[in-house]
This record gives sequence, structure tokens and C-alpha cells, in this order.
Amino acid sequence: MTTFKTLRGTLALCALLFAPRALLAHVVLAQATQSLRAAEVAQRELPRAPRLPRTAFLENRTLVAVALSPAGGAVAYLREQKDSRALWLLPTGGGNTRMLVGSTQAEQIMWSRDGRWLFLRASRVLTIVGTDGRTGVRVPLGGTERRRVIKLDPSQPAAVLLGERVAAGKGERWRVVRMDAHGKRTVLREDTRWIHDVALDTQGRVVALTRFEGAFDVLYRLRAEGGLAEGGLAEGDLADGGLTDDGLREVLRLQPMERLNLLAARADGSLLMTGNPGGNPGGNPGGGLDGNFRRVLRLDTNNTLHMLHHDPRGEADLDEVVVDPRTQEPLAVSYRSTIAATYGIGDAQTIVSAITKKFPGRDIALQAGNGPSAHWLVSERAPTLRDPRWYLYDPRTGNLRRILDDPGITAGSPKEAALARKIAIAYTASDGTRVHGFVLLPPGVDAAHAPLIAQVHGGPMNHFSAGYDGTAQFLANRGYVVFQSNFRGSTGHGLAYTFASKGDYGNGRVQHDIVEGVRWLLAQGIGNKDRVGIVGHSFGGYSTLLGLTFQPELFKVGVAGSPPADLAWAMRWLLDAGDQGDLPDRSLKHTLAAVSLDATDAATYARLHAQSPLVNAAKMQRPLLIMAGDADRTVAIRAVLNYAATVKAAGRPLSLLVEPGGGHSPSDPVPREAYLFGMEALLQAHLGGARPEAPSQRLRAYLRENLRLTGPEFREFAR
Amino acid sequence: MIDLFKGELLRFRLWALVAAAINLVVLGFLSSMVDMAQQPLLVYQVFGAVYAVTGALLGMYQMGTYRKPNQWLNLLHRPLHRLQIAGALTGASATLLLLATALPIALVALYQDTMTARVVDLRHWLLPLAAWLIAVSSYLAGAYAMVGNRRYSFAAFLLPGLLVYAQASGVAMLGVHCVVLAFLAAMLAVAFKPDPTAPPRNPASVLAIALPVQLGAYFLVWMLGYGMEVAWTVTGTHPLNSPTLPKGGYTEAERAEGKTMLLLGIERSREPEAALWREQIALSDVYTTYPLRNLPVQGSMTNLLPLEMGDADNNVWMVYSHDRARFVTRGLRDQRRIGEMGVGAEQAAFPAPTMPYGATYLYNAQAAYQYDSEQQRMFERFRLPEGEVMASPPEPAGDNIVMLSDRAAYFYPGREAMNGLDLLQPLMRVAMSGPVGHLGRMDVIELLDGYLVSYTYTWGMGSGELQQPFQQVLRVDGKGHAREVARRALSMDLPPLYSNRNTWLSPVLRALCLGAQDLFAAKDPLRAKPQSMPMPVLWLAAVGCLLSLLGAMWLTGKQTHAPRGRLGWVLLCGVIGLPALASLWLMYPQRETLPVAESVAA
Repeated sequence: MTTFKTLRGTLALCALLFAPRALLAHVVLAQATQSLRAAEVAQRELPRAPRLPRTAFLENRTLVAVALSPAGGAVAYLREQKDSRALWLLPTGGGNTRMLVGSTQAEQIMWSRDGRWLFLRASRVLTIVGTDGRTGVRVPLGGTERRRVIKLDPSQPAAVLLGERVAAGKGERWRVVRMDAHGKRTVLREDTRWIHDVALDTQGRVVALTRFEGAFDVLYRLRAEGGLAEGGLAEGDLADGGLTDDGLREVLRLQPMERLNLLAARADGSLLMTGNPGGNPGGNPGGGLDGNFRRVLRLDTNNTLHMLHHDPRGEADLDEVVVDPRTQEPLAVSYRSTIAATYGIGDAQTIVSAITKKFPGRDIALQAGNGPSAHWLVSERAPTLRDPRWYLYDPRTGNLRRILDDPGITAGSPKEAALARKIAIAYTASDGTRVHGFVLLPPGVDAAHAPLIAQVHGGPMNHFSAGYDGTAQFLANRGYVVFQSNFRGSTGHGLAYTFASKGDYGNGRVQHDIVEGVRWLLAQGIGNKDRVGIVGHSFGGYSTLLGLTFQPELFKVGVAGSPPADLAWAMRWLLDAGDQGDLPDRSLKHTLAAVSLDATDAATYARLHAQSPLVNAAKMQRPLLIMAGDADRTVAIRAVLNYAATVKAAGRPLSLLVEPGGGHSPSDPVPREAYLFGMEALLQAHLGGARPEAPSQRLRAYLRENLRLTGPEFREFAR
Repeated sequence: MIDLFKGELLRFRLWALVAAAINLVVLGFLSSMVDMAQQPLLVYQVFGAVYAVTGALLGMYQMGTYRKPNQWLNLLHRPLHRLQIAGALTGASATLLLLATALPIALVALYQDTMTARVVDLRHWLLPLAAWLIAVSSYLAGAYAMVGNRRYSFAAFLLPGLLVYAQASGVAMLGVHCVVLAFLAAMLAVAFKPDPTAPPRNPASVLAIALPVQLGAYFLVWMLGYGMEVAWTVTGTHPLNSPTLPKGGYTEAERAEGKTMLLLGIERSREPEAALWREQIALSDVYTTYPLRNLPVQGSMTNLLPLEMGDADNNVWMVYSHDRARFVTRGLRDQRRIGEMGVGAEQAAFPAPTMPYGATYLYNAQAAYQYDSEQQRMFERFRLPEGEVMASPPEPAGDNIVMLSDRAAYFYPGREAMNGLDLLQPLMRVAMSGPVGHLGRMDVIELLDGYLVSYTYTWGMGSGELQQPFQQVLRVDGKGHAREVARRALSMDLPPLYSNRNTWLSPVLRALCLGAQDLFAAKDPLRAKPQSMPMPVLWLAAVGCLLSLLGAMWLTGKQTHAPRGRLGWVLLCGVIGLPALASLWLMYPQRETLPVAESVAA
């Protein structure tokens, strides 16, 4: 038997070495299939997980943010207890944790470069706090100034770079302002156009910037004689005539969907960046790189792009980059579109490799300390970990020390054994394209007979990633196998994959990718073909309606969150009236045109409209729950209501839950639980399983108040 | 006369000084806390009522002390013409009222103007005069009520009541005050004679006395109608207080929620999309707009609401000045004068008095504006076409913003309204088929493309100015093309003869009241012309006039009249109707008949 296995392995290896490319792909797929089956068997053998309360799957906000100081000597974190959020400081070398701020609404922490100040960013305000307890200034964010934090100023001991709008009569200008911990403001640039990002030299001068030009972004270098005076100008020094582009030199023009983030400007004049720019920068012959995947890049002084790191598997966009807090040089990178992986860059490879070895099979995120002996902060993540685990890594000893693990922080987190295993899969669509996705297999469940739920992500320019997903784990905990398709048109797998949809977002290629993914899983013995449902939010909701309308033989039930029932109308509305159509930092029209979704084009509109669930509402016969927010500025509530009314007028029962004042997705606890309850109740009614846990009094009242249409599954909540 | 005048001044000097002091203390105290020039209408009405009561009490007390027969004879038994005596008494009282009412207001205005950064416009300097005229008018009414025949003299109090309903503003309103005052002075002059209870003989005097009496009778009978409603309510038979309102009536339309209103509107629609609309109405939020009935008027002495707003971030308080046609700014915390703020960067004048609403929005008759705290400027955002007048300022209605003019509803892009400061161009205009003065409400829901708009015309039913209430539902497509998809007439709920009793009681007096209401007033585009009365009401009015005429013929036969006087009264009753007959009965006692013949025979 052992001999046979060895022989089989050798044959397989030979086949891999000598097989033509197509055959190789089949072999890889076959291996993936085997791996999936093996995983299915392994999961089936596990004990069945207990049913966990719905609230266990809501996002935990106990530990809101964690940040390592530049020298690695302390960890600052935001911790929420009851209704109050506080800022705490934990010395990494030992000692007592102390509270710096007793009450804050902050969501993000940034350390000043000198490690003496903390910048706390909330949605509406930036607060600056000294590590010695001193209180710095408070700066409002957003508002009519649209003020935002661009990044920490790496050239200063304690300063941030702010982007803000300056009203000029009925027009506007955009400023980049340096603000130090004491509130002193220095205008670094004032521009007629939105500035995405800037790179500064060691003297604090802007040496490069990316700017939105109305249809595309451009990376500029600033010539020494251009731009503003050295060190910037004090507030009020700018004259109206100071908005010259004379100092700008275009070096890289980005196409729609291409993005670029500046990391640092080296002393030699080269720029470090992440992004997916392609083309031919600066007109430099031979300077072009394949612009497919998002990766770490260096632009040299000749404006030639050099790759510093990209996904070794060649299938994922860069997800996260870790930089040296002093130099801003990239130290580590993470890719999470399929199998999560983190790699070191340059000298940091040794440390990163040592850390990753301590977390086999896990996803890790890193924050680096400054210098060879400084601590690193490590967060361990996994599809089965709702709340990341935090460690301090000492590079001198190679030891890991768990921190922030007291019961108050980890309480309520579901046990890993109770959650589903998430497996990256790839399947071949009917046109031969390899499509990515994930499948979640609940423990102790016979996947062959389990109901199968296709979960479709929103966007469509978005993707499922390898990490924890509360909704998917919730469904898995209820006994469903969950399939997450990163259909072509999704992000995370390179621009070519995104553009591969060719705008066929109706009942076409994109929907077929999802359907074929479900059929492929069924063919692998995953899921019961008579118990298949489809759920999704936004574009996922649209796909849900498509599935119920055009593939009713496959999808027996659907739950659609904020669904645009006519993508053509929705895209046109988004341009004409939606918030995203009027953002100062990008052109939605050009982005949509790039992915052939520009509904102002008559042919595109007609095609999508004809294939829409709205026009074909008479074909929709399956049980359906729609959930939406009545202040949604991404998918118009009028369109959701119109579809619901159309279906209702056709005599089909459906349920409609509308969150008062709700945006595109529910954010408050009760609406979020209602979302899960609605999903659970409808799926259980049509795909079987245990009855949902009875809703609390508060949830019951919410449902009674906001269910505008009650199908038979929600009759008890009718007003 | 001077001595009498002085005597009366001295007689009431203490009371006048006390009243003036109280008035000054109250006004001064309030001024120390709030800007008395920027109070809502109700505050001015309360002060006006207090001055009116003060004047009336003075008139009644003063004349009451002289009204006993011997005192009356003593008063008039002077070497002076009776009108000189009346002039001395009323002149002294008017002077005292000037001291008690106008002077404290003028002092407070002077304080605000010279010692604070508050806005004192020319219109505010008219307030002391208006207060004094109110007090004097009421004084004259009180004086006449005591001097005249008590059977009908209290009808004089109806005349100052006109001031509550008058539509004139500013200087024009002072004109109305003067007319009322002159009329009351004339009435007192007529009665100020040795036998004040004797009916006047001069035709002009007769008319001057008879008119308020007729108005009193008219008003009384009209009010008795409400008594009937009370009786219906008490007996549980009131049609509008039953659990279910009359179907298809205007009361149902006025009380219905937006959803119900739209559903009622398309209840009988045969449009192919009607079934879809019904479902969508049931699911949608309905945006209901009630049109304004008044706008701020240039030079108006009072405010509908204070014309002021604050910007705490910039420590600025802004008050609209009619004189400057701009907002005058002062420190919110230190109250120091800052400057002025007009429209846009040019600081242009506002075209009409401008009223803040919401935190940062303002409107006037022609446009709506947005205050930008960052720039501390006011930008014109919505402008009505030439010739149209604001009937409801911009409010969110789903994706977009809806604004109502006197002729149409305008929809503006909500996103651009939120994100910019430019003057917005309307996406669509939905014309009204009826006058805004009759529009009770507008209900709107968003459809996938466009709107379903319901205009319901019910305003003016209570006063009889609207006779044909109706609801119209329009389907407005995404390009703004409106098409009527339903229209229904609304029933009047209560019997027309009851609702229109103010007409059939006396068409002439109704016309007179409407005319008096608009005396010296500029044309109000938010008011509608009264609709013509239904024929049964007019027939009933004719019958009433005829009966009145016949009744006058009979009644005057039992009273003492000169032949021309009798003829005049008969004709007057024929023209005015039943209230004139009532006034005839009140003003003239029956002729005394002595049983002389039997005694002689005996």
C-alpha cells in the first residue's frame, strides 16, 4: 500500500512537471477538490457545535484599536466597557497598565514619531493626548471642511497631515496642512484639486503627491523651485494666486481602478509606494510594469518602477503593508484574498519568518518597533477567531507574550471549535475561467445533506477575504454550508480579474460564476441540491434577486440586504443623486465606465435593465426577505420599495424590513441582530433546521415597528 | 375746557403713573433678558390685549362715574359745547394713556437703540403709536358702552376687534387703527348729549350707531352656530366627532395621514399603475407639506417669528433689519456690534424680510438661503421665478428637496443641496390647479422615477370662502411631466346652510367684514378670492332680507319714526337682512300706547 502511494505520488510529480498548462490546472484543481473532500470529511467527524446566540456573531467592539509605540516600549489601546470607551497604555517592558483618557469616541490610534503623543481619531474629531497625561488640541473632522487625517507626518517629532476643504465663495480648494501636537498649523499645499496622498522629505517638504484630476489620478513630483516655501506657510499666508501647478511634474498617470499610496520618499529621491499602477510611468521607455496586482513598489529617480514585493502565489492583491515607524520603509506585507500569508521584506524577513513560524496556518498582522531590539506587536487572526489575539514579540529572545487577554476583553467570543472551517477554493467556470471563493463547512455536519447558502458580496468591486466573517459563521453555526464566491469582477485578485466581468453584471457571466460555483460544490458532494438558498447585501442583494428570478430551480429562498433591483437604474441614480457620485476624490462615472457599468450609456442601461429583477419581477416566485435602511445614500430606498411593491402587486408574498434612519448597512446592535434574525427565520422556514432563538422583547418591538411587509414567516410580527 | 381737561388729568394722574411705571418695569425687565423687538406675534398680541383692557376699563370707569343722571346733567351743564366737554374728558384720558402705554415702549426702544447692539428699525418706532391707538380705541369703546344705551352700546367693543383680523401692516395698519378710532369717536360724539339713551335722528348718526349694533347681532348669531355644534357634541350626534368621519369629506381629508390621503386620492383610479401605486404608498414615507398662510412683510410692526439666528461656533448672533435689508450681527456672548450680513460675497440686500428656519436656512417671499458657518456668509440656494411667492420653504422629500410657491411645487436635487452652496436649479415643477390660498396640504411619495403628488384643497371651508373642496393626484415622471391620474370632489360634511350662515345672515355685512379685513392691506398672494356661494344659500339670504324688510315694516309701525326715517330703516333691513332688523329692535323702543280710550269711555 505504501509502495502504491509512493508510486502514485511520483506519477503525480511527473505529470506536474511535464503536463501542458491546461492539464496542470486540472491537476491543481483535482488536488483542491481532494483537499476540499478531505476537509469535508474532517469537519463531519467533529462534534456538532452548540447553537450560539445571535449576538455572539455581531462585531465585538471591546477592543477597538491597538497600536505599538514607535520605540516598541508601550502599547496603546482603546477599550470599551459598557457604554464608555477609554484609552489605556500598557508598558511592554512590564509594569502597570494605566488609563490615559477615561472617555473617548476614538476609533483609531496613531503614535507620534517621538512616542510622546497619541493622535486619537474618531469619526468627527481628532484628539491629541500626551503619554504623560497632557491634553492636546481637539480638531473637528468632516463637516463642511471635509477635514480628514491623511497620515502621520514622518518628518516631524509629533505632527499629522490633514487634508481639508477651503470654501472660496461657492467654489472650493483643497489643502494639506501639518498640525503638530500643540495645534500649530502649517499649510503645506493648497490646490484646486483633491490631493489623495503626499510624500515628504526629511525636511518636511512635499516632494510628491497624488492628485485627482477629474477623471484619473496622477502622481506628481514637486520640483525644488515649485510648490510652497520651505517648511510651508503659516495659516493665512496663502494668496489666491499661489495655486500654481508650475512646481508639479507628472510622473505617473493612473487608469480608473488603479490606486496608489505613498509610503516614503528616500533620500536618493526614489519613492516607496503600494498600489497597482501599470502603464509607462513618466514616458520612460521600459519603465512599465504589469499593473495587474496591488503590490509594493519603488519609483526610482528615473521614474522607473521596481517591484519590491508581490504575492508569490500570483493570485492576490496586497492587503496590508507594515512600515518601519522611523523610516517608513516597508518591512512586511500580507495577502489575504485566498490563503492569508505574511512575508518579510529585506532585513525584516528573518523576524517575520520567525514570527510566522510560531503561528502555523494562521493569519497574522504586525506592527513593528523601531530598531533591532524593539518589540513587535502581533495579532493572530483566523476565520474562526472573532476577536484577534494580541502578542508582543521580543526579537532578542524570540519569545512571544500574550497581552490584552483578560476575560473582560475576550468574553463572549465563540470558541474556535464551534465555528466553521473556511476553505479557499477555486473552480472552473463554464468558459474556462478560474473563479475564486471560499466555502465554510460547519463542524459535525454532513455537508452532503446540509443546506447550502450562496453568500454574495457587495460592490461588485469588493471581495471576500480569508478572515473571520460574522454573517457566514452565523449561518454555518445554524447548520448551513456557506459558499462565498469571489466571482470575476471582484477585487483582490488583480485588475484583470476585476475587468474580466466585462460589465456582464445582469443575468450573465457574473451571475453564472456564482451559480456555477454552487453547482460545482453540489457536484463535489457539498450541499443538498434541494436546500439551496442565496443571501447577500447591496450587489449581493441584487444577485440574490437575480438568483430567485432566473435560477429558481437552484435557489429556493433568498435574503437580500439593500438590493438594487435594477442595476442600470441604480448606477444611474448613484451618479445623479447618490453620495458616491459626488465624491471629490474620485470619479464614479469613470470607474463605472472602466468596468462597463456606466448606465449613462444607453446600450449598457438597456442591457442591464432588460435583465434586471425589477423588469422580470413576475418570474420571482420564491420566498424573499428584503432588508434596507430608509436613509441609504448608496442604494435608493425608493428603488427597494418600488421592487417590493411590484412583487407585492403581483401577488407574491415577501417580507420587507426597513431600518428607520438606517444607512446602507445596519450599524446599531438591534438592527444588526434583526438582520441576522430575519435571515435565520426565513432560511429556517424554507430550508429546515432548528427554529430560531426567540427574539428579545426589544428585538420583537423593533420588528413589529419596522416590518413594512410581513410574509408568512413573520406573521407574528405584523402590526 | 382746559380746566376740565386738567381736572381729569389730575384725577387719574396717580393711576396713569402707576400703570406707566408697571409697564416700564415689565418691559424693562423683559428687555434685560430678551430682545423685545424680536418677539413672536403672540407676545405683541398679549401686550396689545393688556393695553386694550386698560383703555376699556378707563373709559368705562370714567364715563361710569358721570353716567348717573344728576352727574351727567352736572357734567353737561357747563358753558361749553357738549363736544368740547367730551373732548376734554377723552383728551385727558388719551393723554394719560399716552403716558401709560406709549411712553414706556418708546423709552425701551430708545434704550435698545442707543445702549445695545440690538436692531431697532423704523417699524419698531411705530409700536408706541400703535399701542396708544389700541388703548385709545378701547377707551372710546368703553366710554361709549357706558354713555350709550345699554341695550346695544356694548356692541362698540366689536370695532377694536377688527384690529385682530386686519391684514394691513406697518403704517397701513396705523391707518386702520385711525379709522377704528375715528368711528368710535364719532359714536361717542353722537351719544354725548343730554339724553344719551335717545336714538339718534340724523341719518349719518343713525348709521354710525346702527352698523356696530348690526355687526354685533350678526356676530352673535354666527357664534350661536357654534353653540349648536356644542349641542351636537353633547348629545353625541356631531357628525365630525363620531368614530368614523364622513367618507369623502373635507374633515377626513384634513385629518388623514399622508398615506391614507394618497390612497383615498387614487381609490377609484383606473390607471394601469394604480395597483402598484397602492402598494408603494403603503410601503413609502409620505412627505406632507402645509402651505404658509403669512409671510414676513416689509415694515410690519410685529414678527410672525423672531427674524434672528445664531452661530455659536463663530460667536455671532444675526438679526434681520427691515431698514437695512440685511442681517445685523453682534457677538453672541459679548453682545457687541459686529456688522452686517447680506447675500453672498457681495453682501447684497435681501429682496424681502427674511426668516430663519432650521439651523442654517432662511427664506423670504422670493428665495431661500443657506448660512455657511465656515465662511460666515449667506448664500442664495433656491430662487422662485419672477411673479411667484414662497408658500413653503424647502424641506427634504426623500432624495430631493421640495419647495412650494403660490403656483407650483418645485423639486431640487438633494445631493447638490447638501454638498454645495450654489444656486440650485429645479429638477421639476409641478403646477397647482387651484389657488394656494385654498390648498390645505400637499402629500408626496417618491416613485422609482418621479413622484405621486396629491394636492388637497380644503382651506377656507370654515369661513365659507371655499365651496368646492377637491383632491387632485398627479403622476410626475422623472423628467417632471405631470399628468392628472385622479381627482375627486370632497363633500362639506356639515350642511351648507350651517357652514355658510355668515353669508345668508347678511351678504352685505359679510362683504363689509371682508372689505374691512383687507382695509389698506397690500394684496396677499397666499390668500385666495372667496368662491361664489351656492344658489340655495343666496336664496336663503334673499328670503332673510325679505323677511327682514317685512319685519321692519311691521316693527317700525310700532315704533316712533319720521316717515323718511321709517322708509330708510325698512330699506336698510331689506338690504342688510336680519341683523338690521335686530338692530332696529334694539335701538328703538316700542311706542308707548296708553289705554286712554277705555278710560274715557268709562
